[in-house]
Amino acid sequence: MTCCKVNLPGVIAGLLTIALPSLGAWWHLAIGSDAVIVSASPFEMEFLVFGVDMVSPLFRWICVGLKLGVVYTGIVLLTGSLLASSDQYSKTARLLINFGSSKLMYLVAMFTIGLIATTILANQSSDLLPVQAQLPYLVGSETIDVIVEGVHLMIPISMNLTGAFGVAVSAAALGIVSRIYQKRIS
Amino acid sequence: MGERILKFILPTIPLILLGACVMAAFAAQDWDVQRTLFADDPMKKMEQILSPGAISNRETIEIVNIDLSDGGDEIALDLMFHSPLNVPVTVTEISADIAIGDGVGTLRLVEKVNVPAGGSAMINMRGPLNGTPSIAGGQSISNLTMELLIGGITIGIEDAL
Repeated sequence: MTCCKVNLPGVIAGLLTIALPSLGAWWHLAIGSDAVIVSASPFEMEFLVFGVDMVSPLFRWICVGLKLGVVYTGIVLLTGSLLASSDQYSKTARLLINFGSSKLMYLVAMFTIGLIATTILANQSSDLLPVQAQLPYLVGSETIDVIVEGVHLMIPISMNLTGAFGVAVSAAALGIVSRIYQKRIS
Repeated sequence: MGERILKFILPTIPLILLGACVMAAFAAQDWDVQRTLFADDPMKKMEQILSPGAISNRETIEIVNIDLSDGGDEIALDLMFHSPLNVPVTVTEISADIAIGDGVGTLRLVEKVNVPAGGSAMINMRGPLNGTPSIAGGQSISNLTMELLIGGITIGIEDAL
């Protein structure tokens, strides 16, 4: 085994991927100050309406499954990246890296596209409602002003991406780098 | 051969993990589909936000006391606000026109009032009066407008009575 053949981007990406589920939500949404709070990532979801939890137990368990799946992907990537230093296991290493390197990228892409698509849908459907709202995309704040039958509502909405999302993007990018790097060293 | 097994096993494990978690979700709720999907009855969740008073159609605003100043040129009105919500509410603004005997005036909120979740709070209003008011002549309140702050959302209501 030689130290210089260890797939370093893969090791870092693997460790970051393993740590990711413990870093918390990727995205926060607040309607009002605390009327509706949404904290989301692909493996956790908090949806509170005036402090009342609205998340289904099934969804919570699916999140646990995804959390375990992400940790598993990280372990596979880390194992592959460490095995890359061994000539005997280089084929296995490549297989493990190929499997582990792309999954997080898909997860980040699906999460981001999902949020953008939901915002587009919400903005499009507001044309059909008496509420004219243009929600920000992923990050930003907006106040929705609604007047319906003598009731005037002013609803501040704010959303932001967290540091955990930055870690996820970094880990996903390093995963792709590790895949390219593995092709070059093997 | 080993590679082929690995290629099969690698993507299978996360699917098994996910499947096991879905099974665990149902098992944890004694295989009750509704409880697994929604936890509590959605109506119960609404009741957690709305207080029982809202459901039993209790009056939200109740006139408690009306006082005229000695000179009859100022009026004080005390209202009891019964919150229909199980969340804290702040009354930030309230105004109303009042006619009392032959006197008329506009009342305004003295200071912001915080109403506890599902509870009640006294709202004090004051205002100048014109004409010759008398409590014996009866009173009528109109054009009641109020502004509430609930969880950071501002709600302005016109003709709240």
